Amino acid sequence: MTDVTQQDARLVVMANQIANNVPVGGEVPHQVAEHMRKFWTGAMRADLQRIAEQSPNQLRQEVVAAVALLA
Amino acid sequence: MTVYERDLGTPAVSADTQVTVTIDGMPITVPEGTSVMRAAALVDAAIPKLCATDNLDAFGSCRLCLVEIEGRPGTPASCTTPCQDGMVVNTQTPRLDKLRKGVMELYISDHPLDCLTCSANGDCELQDMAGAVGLRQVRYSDEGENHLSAGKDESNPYFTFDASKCIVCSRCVRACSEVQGTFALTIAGRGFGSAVSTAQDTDFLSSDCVSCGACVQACPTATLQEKSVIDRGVPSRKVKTTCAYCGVGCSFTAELRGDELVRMVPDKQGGANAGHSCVKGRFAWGYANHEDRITEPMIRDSIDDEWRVVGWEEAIQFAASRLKKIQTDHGIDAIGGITSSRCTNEEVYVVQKMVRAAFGTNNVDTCARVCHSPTGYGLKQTFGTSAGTQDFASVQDADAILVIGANPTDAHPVFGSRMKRRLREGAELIVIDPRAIDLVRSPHIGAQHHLQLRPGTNVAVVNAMAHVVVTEGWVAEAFVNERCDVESFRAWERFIALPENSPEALEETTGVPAAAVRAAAETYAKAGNGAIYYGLGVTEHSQGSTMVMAMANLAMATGNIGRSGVGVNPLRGQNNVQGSCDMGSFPHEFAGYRHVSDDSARALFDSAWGVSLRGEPGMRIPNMLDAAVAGKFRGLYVQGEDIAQSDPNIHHVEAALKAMDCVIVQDLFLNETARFAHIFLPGTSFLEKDGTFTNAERRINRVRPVVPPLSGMSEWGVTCAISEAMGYPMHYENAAEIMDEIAALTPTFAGVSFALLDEVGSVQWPCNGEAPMGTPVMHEHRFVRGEGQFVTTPYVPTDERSTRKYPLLLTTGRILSQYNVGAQTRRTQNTIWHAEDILDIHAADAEARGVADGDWIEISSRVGSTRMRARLSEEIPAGVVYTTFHHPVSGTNVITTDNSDWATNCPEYKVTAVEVRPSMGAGS
Repeated sequence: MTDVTQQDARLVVMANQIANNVPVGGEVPHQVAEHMRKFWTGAMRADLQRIAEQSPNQLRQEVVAAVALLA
Repeated sequence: MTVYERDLGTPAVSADTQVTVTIDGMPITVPEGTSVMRAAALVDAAIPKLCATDNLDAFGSCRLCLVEIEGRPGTPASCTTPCQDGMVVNTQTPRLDKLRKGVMELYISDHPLDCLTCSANGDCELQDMAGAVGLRQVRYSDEGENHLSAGKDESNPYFTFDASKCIVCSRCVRACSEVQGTFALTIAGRGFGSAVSTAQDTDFLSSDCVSCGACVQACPTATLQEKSVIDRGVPSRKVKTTCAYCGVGCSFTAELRGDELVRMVPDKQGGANAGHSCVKGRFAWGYANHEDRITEPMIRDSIDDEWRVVGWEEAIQFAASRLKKIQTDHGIDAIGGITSSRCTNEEVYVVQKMVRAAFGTNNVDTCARVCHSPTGYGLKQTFGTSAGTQDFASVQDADAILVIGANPTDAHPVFGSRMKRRLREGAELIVIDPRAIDLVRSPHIGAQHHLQLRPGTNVAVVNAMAHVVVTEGWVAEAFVNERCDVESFRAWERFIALPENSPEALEETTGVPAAAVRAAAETYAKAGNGAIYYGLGVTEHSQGSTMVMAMANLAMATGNIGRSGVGVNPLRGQNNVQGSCDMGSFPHEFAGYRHVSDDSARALFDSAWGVSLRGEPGMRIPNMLDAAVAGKFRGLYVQGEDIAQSDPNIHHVEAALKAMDCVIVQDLFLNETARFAHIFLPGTSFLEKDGTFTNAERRINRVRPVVPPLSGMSEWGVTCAISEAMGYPMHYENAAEIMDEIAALTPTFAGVSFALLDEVGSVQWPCNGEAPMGTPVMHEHRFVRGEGQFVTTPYVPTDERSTRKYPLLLTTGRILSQYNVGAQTRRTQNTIWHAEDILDIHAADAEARGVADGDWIEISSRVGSTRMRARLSEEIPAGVVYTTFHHPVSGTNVITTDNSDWATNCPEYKVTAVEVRPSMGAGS
């Protein structure tokens, strides 16, 4: 695994963890997208969008949906 | 010339009723219950005294403070006699003079007459009182039985106990009991044989003494005396300032002789500490002049090169040119900065300003990332702002105290003493912690409930408590309806009432019996005033932010917000964690917690700073480190922080630092991070700083320069110089001007200025037009966000699980004598108590591994391993091990992982799956 993919792997863990922990009751993709807008850099969101396009199966469905909202 | 505070003899009393008395012809009105001694002192008719002092309850033993009261027989002790309306008191009469001389003569007859060579000469109440009563001769010779040859105990590194000079006034014993709450001292023997002794009749070092210094401060003679005073002499001038250790933020008087610091004395007027101290603030300041201090700038091209000492100008130009080249080659966002919670608000503010305005990026973060960032997130979501709700004094009104993931007697000892006083008065105590911390059982204190949960299950336990509150009908409906967002409450109520959140359903997960959870919930909900105090045992989890919100939910549901005695209170780790966060150190927020995407806030800063700021969040520390390993982030300014020791998964941190082209470290010492630095900029100790710290109760305290900066430059001045070299000049004449800018741009600080702080001592933010003298208790009439917001908090187990390979769970914490990574305390005599990190392990786990008490062990996790000695401990349950992270040799964070809080990336220091094996030694 290269260093760059280590960073990707970290983003995947973070994104899935957010989706798994946002409060129940709301729309999870919207909450995940909102969280990423508030706390992630544009570069991190762009990297996640690339990951979602290249290997969406690493991401929870809610994260993939959130990435679509970020576009 | 002496520098000592006026002592009114007995504590202040608050009462609704006032009484008027006449003392030596002078009328005075005081609260009912005030002693005659205190009233007399208030009209400057000071009565001679020895056993009385105004931070201890009256004792009435020395018989020196006798007075005559018209219409009453005898000569009562003024310290134990309360004022009554119409009372007429005479403090100076021939009869009293004769009695006092007789009493004093007896004291002096058994006291060494070595005043001229005594270390307390000029700082001795016995000497003063002998003068005050006009004692001119002692008729009793020293040939009779006496204590003049009693021994001297010099075992404590910071003070001595010279029994030959003791007058057995019991002030030290009472200070240890009433103020500190340790009960380490007693009066042994009876009658003439009475003597101050440690409780186990050992020397001080071997006793239960925690070296808080309360006994030394209380002693009216040279019996208990600071070694620094013995060595250097009695102080001749003083400077009021603020401690640089934990988030209690104690006020101190630095007492000097010339330009040499002699001792630090806790300030009775200090809003946070009210005259008390701990071993660190009182005694462990020697690091400020330690030989390891680096006082000249140093640079090197490569981390493999030797350091080269240079002048400030060369160092600053070298740093700026490297940072600019990185930005040219790799982009604006390839550099960033980290601010320090050990620095002043003003120093922090200019660093984040430099990063945002001069570097042109929002890549600024703070060491609060690894401690209380979940507090910021959780309390902002629920209450509307990132701060604890109460002042410290509030605990005196608490009826039930819920301590979660905190160890106040070790990590926040001065507040711990205040809490213990309330517990001795009868408040009930609930402790939620895997460890049996001192509060669970210590002298005159015992927790009514100790929920000894499995590490990582905080949210499950507090959800279960809230489930009980809701399903038993204990919700404070009126408070919720009036003060909270009712829709969010109803959603939370439905969620928390689900059977899956019941204590019974979660018992297997948490390890806490359901009945214990139910009992604790009832105590908290029905106590009247329920107060929550928490620490890093809450935040440093994968659900740290969720847990903060879960506690906020519980407090709102039970109506425990918005008055004295209640609240949700983070016990901040470092002295200025609160302040560093307030100052805009997070990559997504400007000062005052306003998001960078907030156009109106950004426009305010754009205008004031004359730049166009970015509206996108920057990188957090872990993001920076990940990007550095990937080659995208290449330059870092680190202010007063040692990420190569304090941050998790040290191997990863080191790899990131090694990958950078420019690491700038600004610190007192060549710390672990400096091994990877290209530029070292000498920092200033708290004794050299001019500015403010903000403590855990939002109290803004002045930090005043006691001595000039050893490096010749203030830290904020260095930051401004780098900023100018980067092309963005920042002009301030002094630190007060920086605070003026902070106040102008931050609504919660709008009323703060050095002039105000110098006038009133301290204020708690918000301090502005609505609250010109500050705000001790927040959310009194409405929440900062308007209505309190309930948030559903599902328990999600951490990914860090014990396995067959790593069957134990490691949790970490602090010890009283050491502080964080130990950069300061390891360079003091505090190492006598804790010279190395030790692994606490349950006897059953130790036996299963062939480990005996004191053995060297190797502890391994999935990311690394290290070695340390083991100690068999009954404080932790089987399956859990515990250690501290104060020493770089053991490097505890070699084994902690990069798991982190889902919302803030605060590392999960408190849960690491490990295995422990016997080892041959430190280097094996």
